[in-house]
Amino acid sequence: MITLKNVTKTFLNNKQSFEAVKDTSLTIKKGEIYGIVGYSGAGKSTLLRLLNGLERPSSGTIEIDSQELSPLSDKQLRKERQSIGMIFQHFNLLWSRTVIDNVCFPLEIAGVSKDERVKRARELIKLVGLADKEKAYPAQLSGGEKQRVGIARALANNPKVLLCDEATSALDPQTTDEVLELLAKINDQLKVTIVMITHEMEVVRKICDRMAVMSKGEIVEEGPVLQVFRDPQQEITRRFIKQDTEVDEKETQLVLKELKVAYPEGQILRILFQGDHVGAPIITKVSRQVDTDINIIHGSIRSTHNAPIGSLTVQILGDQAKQDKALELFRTYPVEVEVI
Amino acid sequence: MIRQILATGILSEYTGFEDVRWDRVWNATTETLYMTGVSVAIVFVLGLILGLLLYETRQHQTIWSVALYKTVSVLVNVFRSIPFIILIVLLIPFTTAIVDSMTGPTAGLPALVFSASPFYARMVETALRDLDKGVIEAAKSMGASKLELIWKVYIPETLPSIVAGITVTTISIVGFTAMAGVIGAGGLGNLAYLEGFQRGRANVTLVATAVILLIVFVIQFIGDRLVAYIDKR
Repeated sequence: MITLKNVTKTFLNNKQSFEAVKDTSLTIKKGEIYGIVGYSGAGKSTLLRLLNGLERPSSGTIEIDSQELSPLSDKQLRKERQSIGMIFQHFNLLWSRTVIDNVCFPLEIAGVSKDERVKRARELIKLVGLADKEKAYPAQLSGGEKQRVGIARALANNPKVLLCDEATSALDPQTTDEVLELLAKINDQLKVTIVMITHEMEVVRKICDRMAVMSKGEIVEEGPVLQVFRDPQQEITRRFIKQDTEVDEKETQLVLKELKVAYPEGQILRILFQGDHVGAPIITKVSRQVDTDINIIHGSIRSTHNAPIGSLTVQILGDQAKQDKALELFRTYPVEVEVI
Repeated sequence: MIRQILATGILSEYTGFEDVRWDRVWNATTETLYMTGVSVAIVFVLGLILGLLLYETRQHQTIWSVALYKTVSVLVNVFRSIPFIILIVLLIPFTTAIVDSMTGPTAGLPALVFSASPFYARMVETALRDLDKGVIEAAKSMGASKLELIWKVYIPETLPSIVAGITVTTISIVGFTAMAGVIGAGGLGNLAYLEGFQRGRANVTLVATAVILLIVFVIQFIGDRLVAYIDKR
């Protein structure tokens, strides 16, 4: 669906060149939700703007739905953009227009007739759940409602791709979840490919199928969300994952310290479950087989778009032989085991 | 002091309106309104175009737009800085050439337009620069062309500032028309000067002042109402 090949984007600023995106190659499949995480300045915004031609690459090729962007003239590119919707962190609605007129805006640009425009806009406003706010002005809406208008507007021309630029970063957690749910619903119902950039790992975990981590203009890690979460390769990825679990993490560390003092001989393990194995009674099985006590310190479960990820921090008690045997047994199960 | 004023009859010069020629006042008022109305219409269009031009050329880095920006910018600054009364005199040859007659309200128009357009163009440019860049980006991401951007984003989104700006400009134009009376352009300024000052009839000056104030208040009122109505932020 979307293919980037060796894309580089260089900006000239006061005669100093700056590579915002460096030699990046990426493939995004049709119908998936693809997340790109990175800290600000990592080049993810530029990458997103390369996808709809708001920025042109300095080198490399970008293909959307087997249509290469670079040979297009400005006019053709504007036409192409009509099939690529975009939503923004600060919504970027026209304050001078009502909700319905905002949704009509891209349809006006596409040259759709008045009757058709209103009909289509009404459908979309209903889809995003704002049917009663059709005549309201953006200033009268909450942040979540504004983003819904933004989504309706982005979908007006039946885009193949929806680009989300930090779409939930200005929203509170509750509203973030609502907007993410709406995006997942749209992806499911309309089969729109969604590309989202964010600095919040939580957003990626909740709705993305695959993800990439961007740092200093480069994609440093890429893969299915579950795999990246289970087995992060890069330090920066680990930091992002940690940020997602931080709240529990601090408390857990504190308890761990205390337990190490109380049971200096015990071994502490972190076990990561995935998908179907979340429900398996691994702990009791191991405990019974080895005939030793296993102390559960902390457990959590997080949902992802595809399957849940569970994490369990346990302490194996008993003598060294039993501990080693338990560890060995744990490793025979389809879980990730990490000795802390 | 007050007694002295009363004794010399200074105050009585301002009172007593029996001998005011109301037909002349009416004539002068229509002349002022004509000069203001026509020049505001031209200034609005011209200022808007110049303002858009300034805004558009400012952002681009090509040699042509830089040159255009500099040219327009210098012209705007020069005409904005010339005192109006000097500008009128300066433009007399030009005015004669294009309006044929040196007197009458129409003769005042070129100077009014030259003086007010740059002023208004700067206001429009400032309003455009305050426009949220995100909204422009959103419109571009939908495939809007430059013309669509101007008609559907730039102008509607800055309309309150554009209207507030033309209100202020209109009020200063009313002030300028009074000065234009000096070159025989007619209007209330002319009336106050010729009938009021030169014939020593302060009551006429007072009437002219009152009418001008009334015009200014009405303009301000309409402008404020209009801004309040269109501003949905």
